[in-house]
Amino acid sequence: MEEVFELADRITIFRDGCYIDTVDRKNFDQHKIISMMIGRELEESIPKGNVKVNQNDAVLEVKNVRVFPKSNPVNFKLYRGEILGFFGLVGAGRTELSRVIFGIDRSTCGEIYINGSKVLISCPRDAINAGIGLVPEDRKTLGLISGMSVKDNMLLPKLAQFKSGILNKSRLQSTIGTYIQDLDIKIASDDEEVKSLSGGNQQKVVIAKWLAMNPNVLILDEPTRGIDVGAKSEIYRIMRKLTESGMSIIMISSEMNEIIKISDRVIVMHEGSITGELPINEATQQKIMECAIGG
Amino acid sequence: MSHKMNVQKLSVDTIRQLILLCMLIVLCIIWSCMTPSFLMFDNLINILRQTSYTAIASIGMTMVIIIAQIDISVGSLIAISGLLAAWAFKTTGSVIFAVLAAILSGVVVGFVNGVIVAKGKLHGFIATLASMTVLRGLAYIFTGGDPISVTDPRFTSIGTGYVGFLPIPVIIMAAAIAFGWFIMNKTRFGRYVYAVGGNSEASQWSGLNVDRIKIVVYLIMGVLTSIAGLIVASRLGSGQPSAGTGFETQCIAATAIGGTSMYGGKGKVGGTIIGVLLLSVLSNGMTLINVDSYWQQVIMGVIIVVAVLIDTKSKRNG
Repeated sequence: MEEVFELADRITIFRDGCYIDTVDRKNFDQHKIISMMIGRELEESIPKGNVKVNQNDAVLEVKNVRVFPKSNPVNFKLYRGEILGFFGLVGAGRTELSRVIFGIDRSTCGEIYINGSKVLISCPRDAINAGIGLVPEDRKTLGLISGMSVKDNMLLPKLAQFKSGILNKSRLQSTIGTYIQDLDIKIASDDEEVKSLSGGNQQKVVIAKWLAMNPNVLILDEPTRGIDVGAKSEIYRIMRKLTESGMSIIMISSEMNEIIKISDRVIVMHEGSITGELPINEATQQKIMECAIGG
Repeated sequence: MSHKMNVQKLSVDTIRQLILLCMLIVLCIIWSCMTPSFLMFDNLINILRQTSYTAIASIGMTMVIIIAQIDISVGSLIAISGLLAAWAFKTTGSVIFAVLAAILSGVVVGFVNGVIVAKGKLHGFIATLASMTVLRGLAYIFTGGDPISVTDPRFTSIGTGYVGFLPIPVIIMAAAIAFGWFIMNKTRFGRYVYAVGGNSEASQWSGLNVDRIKIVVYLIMGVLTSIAGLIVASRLGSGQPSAGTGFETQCIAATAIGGTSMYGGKGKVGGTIIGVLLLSVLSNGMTLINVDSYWQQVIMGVIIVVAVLIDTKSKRNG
């Protein structure tokens, strides 16, 4: 976006594969272009949820999990219906922490509790059964099977729950349900291969895949990386809607704006340890950054 | 716009299969013009019977290649399973034990291959290169280089017998095709196979037990190959330590011609079957018109390259 304003003389705008307009750069500012890109005014702030976070209702509790061999153990709680933002500089160990929670990697020590009871997670299937979903940072290599259809991608984690190993068409269709409409995924048919979709639509397919599992906890790692502005605000809206329905979300992000705008609470990590835990009304850019550099 | 692209894409796949089928039909027409004996009922049945061994194993090979692996030990397993079947029949006099011995060898070999690939994280090419040599060596050690002959019709009828006008191997082939088609198109496991082949890491992140899926695919490959080995031994009336030499090439070629991607994730059992038929019709016709068998190999090689080139080209356009 910045590049376009620095270099271009004229700007052509496309939306959902259709030509919208070509304009002179001088006469237009970023705000106007964005509205043309998304077809409506971009609301500056995503509405904060009205959910009252109940501090006694911890859905997920992580106790003494060590992210790096020599870092301090990590302890935190995730409450029902909140969006917990994880901020940190690159290498702070946030993705590594999510990998441990999701059972990709094993921590040498520590415990994970779901709704107050201890769970043993040694592979992703354990985490999924415990009600955890993970939208990975790199959706192309970890989140999706690009040569498979939207439908098959969405069904992948769910298939293991079917009693019969023989597929039943109507059962499959009812699992996919209305997620494509609910999340407004723009596709011609659910048989379309996901590799032909835009970044935002691909990300929505990954989210839909986990929604089909109806998880208690959804971890989103850099949920808006490589996604255009319109889809970004849609994804924020989806996250907010999910928490309103009782889901709890961990959002790992390196974008300060996103963290401050979306989270109900912010945890800051530095070199594998938690260096700050801030309620959103205390989370200023200054404070978050101080924690992130280890202050 | 995207809808149009989608329709085009779907038809690329279908068109490919149709092209293959047309090639097969054209080839049949050419052969029947050149030699009247081609279209004889006996010859057609004979083609099907010759196809059966390769077809049965190629169904397994299709699954292995869909998970972006390969199995080059199938030729040696043809020898081992045939030898064990012949040996078991000679010792016990029971067809059931002969069948069980053959299948057991397939289970063991497939399982070991699968474990080395899945748990040892070796590529299938290396893992099965090793088992290919080990098994061939064992076949010679086991027999001292001599075939184990069995002339008892109870044993040889598996490969030579008929039910009605259909040879038993052809019936077994039909069952194997039905099994492969069902697994890959109608079951959860089939979806998993495509998923692991398309992106094994993303499959793991979706909760799939990738290692187990790989092992089961190699297991199926082993069992199907051992059934083929049993049929070969029964048809020859002996277990031969040198049986199945070059067999892996035929299976891989048929699978590739049938449109299965060597990069994994894409492929159809039906395509492979057309691929096997194409290869057998080609070789049968060439034999009928007296093409030198050395030249046959050269022509086969060229056809494989051409077929796979068409495949990669159609993929780029799609």
